Amino acid sequence: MNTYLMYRDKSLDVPESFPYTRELLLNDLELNVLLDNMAQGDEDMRKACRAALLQPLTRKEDILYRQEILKELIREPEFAREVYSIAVDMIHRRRTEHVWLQSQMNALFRGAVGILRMTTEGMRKLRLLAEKYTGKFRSEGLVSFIEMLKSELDEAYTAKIEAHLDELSFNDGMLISARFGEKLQGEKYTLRRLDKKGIRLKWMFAPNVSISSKDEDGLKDLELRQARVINENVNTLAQATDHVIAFFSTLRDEMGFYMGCLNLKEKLLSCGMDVCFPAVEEGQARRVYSNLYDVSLPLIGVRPVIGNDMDYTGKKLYIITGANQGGKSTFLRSLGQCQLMLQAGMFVGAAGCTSHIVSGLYTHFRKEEDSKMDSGKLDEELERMSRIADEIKPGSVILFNESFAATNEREGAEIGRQITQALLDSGNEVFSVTHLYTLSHPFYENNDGTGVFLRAERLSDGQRSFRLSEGEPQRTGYGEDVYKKVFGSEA
Amino acid sequence: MYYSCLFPDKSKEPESFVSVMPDHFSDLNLDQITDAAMADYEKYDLARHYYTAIHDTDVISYRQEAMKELEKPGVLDAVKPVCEILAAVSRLQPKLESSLNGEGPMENNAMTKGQYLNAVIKYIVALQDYADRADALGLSSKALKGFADYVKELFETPGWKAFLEHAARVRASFDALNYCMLVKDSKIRLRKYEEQEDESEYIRELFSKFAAGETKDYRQKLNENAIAYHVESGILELLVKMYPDEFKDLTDLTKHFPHFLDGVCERFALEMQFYFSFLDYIAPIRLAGRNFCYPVIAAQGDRIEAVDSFDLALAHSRLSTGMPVVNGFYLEGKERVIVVTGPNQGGKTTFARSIGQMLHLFMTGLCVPGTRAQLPPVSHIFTHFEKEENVENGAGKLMDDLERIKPMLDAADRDSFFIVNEIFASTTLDDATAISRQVMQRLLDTGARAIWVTFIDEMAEYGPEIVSMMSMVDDSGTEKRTFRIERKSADGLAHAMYIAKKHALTYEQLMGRLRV
Repeated sequence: MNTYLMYRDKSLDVPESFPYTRELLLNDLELNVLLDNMAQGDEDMRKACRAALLQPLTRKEDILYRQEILKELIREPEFAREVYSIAVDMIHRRRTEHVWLQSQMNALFRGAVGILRMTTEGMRKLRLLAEKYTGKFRSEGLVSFIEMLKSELDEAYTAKIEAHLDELSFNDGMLISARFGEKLQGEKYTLRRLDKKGIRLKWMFAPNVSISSKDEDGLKDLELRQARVINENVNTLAQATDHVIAFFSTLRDEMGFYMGCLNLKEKLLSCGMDVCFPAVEEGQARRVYSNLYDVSLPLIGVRPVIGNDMDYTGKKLYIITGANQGGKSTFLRSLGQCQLMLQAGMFVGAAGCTSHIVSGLYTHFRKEEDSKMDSGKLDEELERMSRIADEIKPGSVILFNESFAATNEREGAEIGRQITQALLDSGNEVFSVTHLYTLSHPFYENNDGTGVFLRAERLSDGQRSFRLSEGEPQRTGYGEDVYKKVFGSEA
Repeated sequence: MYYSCLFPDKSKEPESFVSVMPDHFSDLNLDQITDAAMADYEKYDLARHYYTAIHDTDVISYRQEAMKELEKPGVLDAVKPVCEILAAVSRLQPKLESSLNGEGPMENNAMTKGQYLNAVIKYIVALQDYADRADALGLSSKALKGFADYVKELFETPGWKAFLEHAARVRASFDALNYCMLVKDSKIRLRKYEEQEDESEYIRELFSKFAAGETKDYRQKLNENAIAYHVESGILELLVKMYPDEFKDLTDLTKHFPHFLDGVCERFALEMQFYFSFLDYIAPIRLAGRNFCYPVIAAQGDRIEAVDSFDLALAHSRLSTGMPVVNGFYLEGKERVIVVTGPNQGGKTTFARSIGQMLHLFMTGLCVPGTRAQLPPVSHIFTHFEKEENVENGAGKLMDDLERIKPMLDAADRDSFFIVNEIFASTTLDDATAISRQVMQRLLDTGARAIWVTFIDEMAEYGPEIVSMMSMVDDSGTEKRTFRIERKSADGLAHAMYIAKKHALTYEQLMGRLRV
């Protein structure tokens, strides 16, 4: 019994933490801002959205599967909200019941029965909701979801569960089967269903051990034996509860992702920003964007937000040079975010977007502060690069931001050249923001047509447009302009 | 016939073992290493194996071969549990024997026999398991494969066959039994089981459509041992009456095979603990990214070397704070003595210790820190470390230094190895230099090899037998210590490319990695 709202054939995995290289994406691409605005304080929703963003889909059909669901939920947000709140409610009530902390076996057993009874309510609510929305959806994912709820959680089933829970009492004694253990001790104690017919006649003359009411050790021993049996059954009941709750929590995670998307869309629209569902290109490297912007900027209140347009086919290397504070990092972030959102099945932060799918996305950004490091800066950078290299599969895209600048230009450029070339030659796409003229210019001179060279624009008055345009790498980074902007003309 | 997993045969076993910690252990911090390695193995008498250096290279190879095989995937996991079971049976058997022969009500009863049956079955299964796994894993070392062959021969003896057949029959007869207890009002009634339905199964079935993924285990840890001996025993005695034939057959088994544990198997299980203890000790260090290797045994005149080695005791003490730097050395041709100079606190002593540790571990047949090594069997390891405790006046100290080193020089031969650390530091530089030169000459005269840590730079150029190594500072000019000890000649690689190479990020290296 599966929800299958995120994949056709499996559930969303929501790990507590991600491998190092994916954690890097969170910071480098300002994904935390994105996630905060998706989740709006709901920690579980945040984790689900993070899981979707950091586990990109790599097939077009899988991306479209989510896109279609999302488009329909944008139309019927109330359905998403209700499913989500039923799931959250179940999980919340399970968490707040403290019965698992009981030490008395009997109390534990009664508690376990009670919680299982509670979950049948949740099942019933879901089914009623499914009945209400029957016929309202066309997307493959939502249609099968509705059908699944109606067929698996029908009234006959919930009623049968409740009937059996009523049965669990031990008025005629507890029937336990046992086997001979390794040392011939009684073992594999198993609670059996006691047939009440002819019970007296059958057991009255059976050989027995009787424990006197004064025999304290004996009574304690007997109690322990019973506890051993109930132990197994409490376990079964608790595991059954877990399985039911696991179903609800998968539902919460998967619907949580869509809820997050709804939240984000609303937020961006209220900031006056466009979003669009991207077209997915298969077969060739293609990047067509209009007004591709850094989604984190409007969310933290930056106005105006300036996007970039581009239209490239068959390119492998993008080198971005030019003015400081000219929008280079912003561009890199917008591109990375767009790729991850696209491959999560979401809309993207652009007015229009057509893009191919990558097999992996990695960022190698210069660290602002590395006071914690005890190895040298270059050492740290290369260590990080090496960990990324451990994971790269061909067809990945790697975004470099001012990498390899921790040593002198000649050496940094040489290291950067070797790494970039190896990445390209093994079938990857590289975006590189760099100040290292010695790194960028040789690539420009030897361009075989697969390289694109972009520059942060600088208007004649020294103002920045924050847009990128094509152009030959140049030597200066216009740091002087930034300095002037900060310190004013007195400097 | 198979003898031991530590010695290829009786003739190779020393007449006596070193049972007291050797002198050089504390200087080299070998005491920390062996104490920690033995800590979880107190039940076994392992100190003698750690303390006794083996001079017979056949024994060293025999042990290295066994250890290498133990380190192959799956081997340790297969062999260790078997040995643990055999060792446990070895400890239990005398107790069982006396109890089965006892007269008291708590002794020769159904419960004791139950324990006996358990030991017998564990023992049989462990040996069979070993023989099977030896084949499946394709064991080939003389120590491990040899034992498997021994076990297989044992299986073919008539005595074993009768034992096995009887024990298996008894166990199978009990396994087939299933009884029921109806517990009500302080009374336990017993009947044979009559196919009553399992309550848990019913619940599981009811919720099976939800079952997915792993489940948490909610079972509380309950004491399965009976609190009241008389209740367990009372139930068991009722069962003896309910199943008389099965219990009679068990009693016969205890009478026919009172001491069933084979002596060679027992010795194997107890001695294997030596290997296990060391592998346990180094496992977390490996996980932390440091390597171990089995040194090639250097013949007379061969180059000796170690690559990427480190101080094992230091590594173990820094498991949570980061591994020490690795260092290496080599001596070839005429070279006999490494003189280490350089800034204080730069890792010189650690480096010297690590070489001493390596030599001793190598001489016990164990693996050593490093990625590759070739080491000579040494006749004796002599250590001379400054004694910090008696801060006497210069003359007394110098005297003490000399008095300690003299007998070592007298006893040394060309196969000895000296580890000399900052001696004569208590006197003036001129004095220290003059005395050091004399001691160095005497050392060279013995033909022994040595590593000599000193503050006297001049010693590094004493003669053609000397190799100079230095503790290095960071070449960024910050004077930061790197704890690397290197031969003085620089390798010419530019610093940044050197770092890139270290991270396997040059074009060729990266292409190789990305192609996989």
